[in-house]
Amino acid sequence: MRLPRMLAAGAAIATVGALAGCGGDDQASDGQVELTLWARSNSVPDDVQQLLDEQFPDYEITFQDIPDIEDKLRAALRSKSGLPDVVVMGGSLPSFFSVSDQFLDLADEAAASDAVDWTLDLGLTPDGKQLTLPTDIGPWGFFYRADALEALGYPTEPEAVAAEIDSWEAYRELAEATAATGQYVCDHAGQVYQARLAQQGYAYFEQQDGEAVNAVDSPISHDAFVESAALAQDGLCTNTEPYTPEWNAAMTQEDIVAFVGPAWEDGLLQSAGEQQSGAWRVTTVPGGPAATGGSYVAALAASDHPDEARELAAFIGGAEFQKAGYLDKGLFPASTGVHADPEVATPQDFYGGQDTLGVLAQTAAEAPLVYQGPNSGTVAAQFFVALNDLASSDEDPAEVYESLLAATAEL
Amino acid sequence: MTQTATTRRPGKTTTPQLRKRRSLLRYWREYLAISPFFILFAAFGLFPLLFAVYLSMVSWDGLGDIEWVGPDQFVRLFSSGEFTHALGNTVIIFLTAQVPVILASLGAAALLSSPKLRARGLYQTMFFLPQVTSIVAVAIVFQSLFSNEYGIINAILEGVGLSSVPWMTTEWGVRLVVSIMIFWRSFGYFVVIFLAGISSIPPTLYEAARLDGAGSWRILRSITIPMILPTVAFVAVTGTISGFQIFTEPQVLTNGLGGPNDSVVTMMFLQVRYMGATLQTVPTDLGFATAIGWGIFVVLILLAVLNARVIAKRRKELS
Repeated sequence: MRLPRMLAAGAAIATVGALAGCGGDDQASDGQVELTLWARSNSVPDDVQQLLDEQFPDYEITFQDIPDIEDKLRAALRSKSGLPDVVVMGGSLPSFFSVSDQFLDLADEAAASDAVDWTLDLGLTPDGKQLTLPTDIGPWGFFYRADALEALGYPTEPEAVAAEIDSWEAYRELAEATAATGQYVCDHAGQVYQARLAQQGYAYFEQQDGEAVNAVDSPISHDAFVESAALAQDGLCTNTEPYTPEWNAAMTQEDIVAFVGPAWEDGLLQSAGEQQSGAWRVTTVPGGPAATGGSYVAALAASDHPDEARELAAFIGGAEFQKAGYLDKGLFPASTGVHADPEVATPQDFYGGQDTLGVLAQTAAEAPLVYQGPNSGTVAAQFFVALNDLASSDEDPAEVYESLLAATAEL
Repeated sequence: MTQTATTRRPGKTTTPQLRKRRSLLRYWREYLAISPFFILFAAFGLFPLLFAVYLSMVSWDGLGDIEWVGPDQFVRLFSSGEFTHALGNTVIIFLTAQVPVILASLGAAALLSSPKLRARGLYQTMFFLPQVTSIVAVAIVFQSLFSNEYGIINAILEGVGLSSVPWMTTEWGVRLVVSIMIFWRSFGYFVVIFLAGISSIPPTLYEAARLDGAGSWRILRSITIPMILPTVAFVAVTGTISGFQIFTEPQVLTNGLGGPNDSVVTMMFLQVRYMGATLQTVPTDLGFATAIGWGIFVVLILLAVLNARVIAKRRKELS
């Protein structure tokens, strides 16, 4: 009888152990403050652990690299368990506004921050809670090759180019001129479309009394959609999406000689366009400055150490951290202190000695705030997919626009 | 259990219910010993299943308030056209990928099992290699191969004077690329399974057939296939189920866009969209995603039953 009993007891212990393994609420035993940070490794500096350990020698900070961070965060918020203390996330912030009670208010940290104003406002909920601080942002630039523009008789210096190609009509003329020589200044119509919306501060919804009101039916989206689709349908774009093998191929074959894109595509450009180093320049996007958000840091209310979590969030949203991110990975800083830092604002060899930070920082400062509703991302994705499909079909963009209006009217 | 319970003669006053409870208590050690499976099954099998029943009756973005909608999600499943479109896409990809790959791998296994073949292990390894390659890496290679403007295939076609094919921007083009990818990837897996089945056939049968003057085709039809019918049944059922759960290939190949007019949005792809995929073209609704899950479940059950029937009938014909 003894053996079965021991076996039974063993099985029971194993079961309890297995089930307890699902919980995993490890507590700090020695009284030291333990903080967990979730981030995508490509949205933080290379040596993030070392940086944090040096800054906070008294805290034990665990950095976890989470590639699908928004999904993981949503799952953890849903179950209210396994949450980190601090998180660096991207994507659509308004989708988290409905659970703003699960986040700490970073109002004091925002007041002390030197970030560009609108980037702070992105993390402000309708009832005035500061959910996030910006870490990196996406001012858009018109990236071009000076040699290609010169061959077409255009000016080559960034300021002169911005003055010459100051509207989307002028951009289209340039696109036609380059396409005639078998090269392109448009990689994907969706990029032009996004820039055009952002520079109008438009993202399909308007804020009225704290509520997001559907404003999809607007001349802004209509004109941007129809004219961007025309670029693709008239054969003026390579129809390659950034971060795909095709884009890289188009770049190495020197088909793309200019494009509009957010600042973070700098890293992509420098690797794909390695052989064209020195020829590239950046200037303001035609039609005026445009910028979109990048990554944000937030602190969770479930943290055992809310004050320390806020302190960590403020550091990640601060100048020193963002400077490291810019120098390591080209993550464009939200902090105006970094924009003015002489160590960072230096001539770049890849851009023929141009100080690219300067022009993009100016764009960031002048760009309008883009108000995002909870469904802005969904509508944007539908329009993007439609533009992608239109590039290879002979459907009328205006008709497709009408059908998109119908499909998104209820959102 | 009732037989053993009588060994401890219960008093006349005890009711049958009490007797039953006592006998249950009496075997607590045994119950405890088998409990790990049931506890784990309840936590990871039964509970999610029951929760899925509940979830399919609500509308929920995963974060905000849960809204009870009753059978609306199932009405939407059939009326919105999205699910039927996805089912159609899945059937097309299944018919153009999974069916040919099973037939081709059966033929290849028959050839590979020829006793005269040398370096069999080398072929097996070569065929099996795609199966253990990262599917995402494979998808990126296929993107590079079939890209409209910058693809190697189109470059070759143009090189020999043919016109290039818009693989990635036409509905049938992108479906074909997905099918080729699935074919290439799962070929080796099925070959290995069929080879295992064939190796269990006694060689005497083949010897006898050859003495009777049977040719290769006749041997394949009359000996190999009937003898490996259980393997065929296994491959047919698992192949059908996995074929109807295609997701990664079309998702990665189209960068999450789903191809022109959603032509490669399979049932699983659609479900993931509603679960809140990174490129969100629809508002997240876990309720509808769960209803899609039930739809997939019913389709798979029907196919499994159909498969079993066909195999049983064939078996009867042979015996």
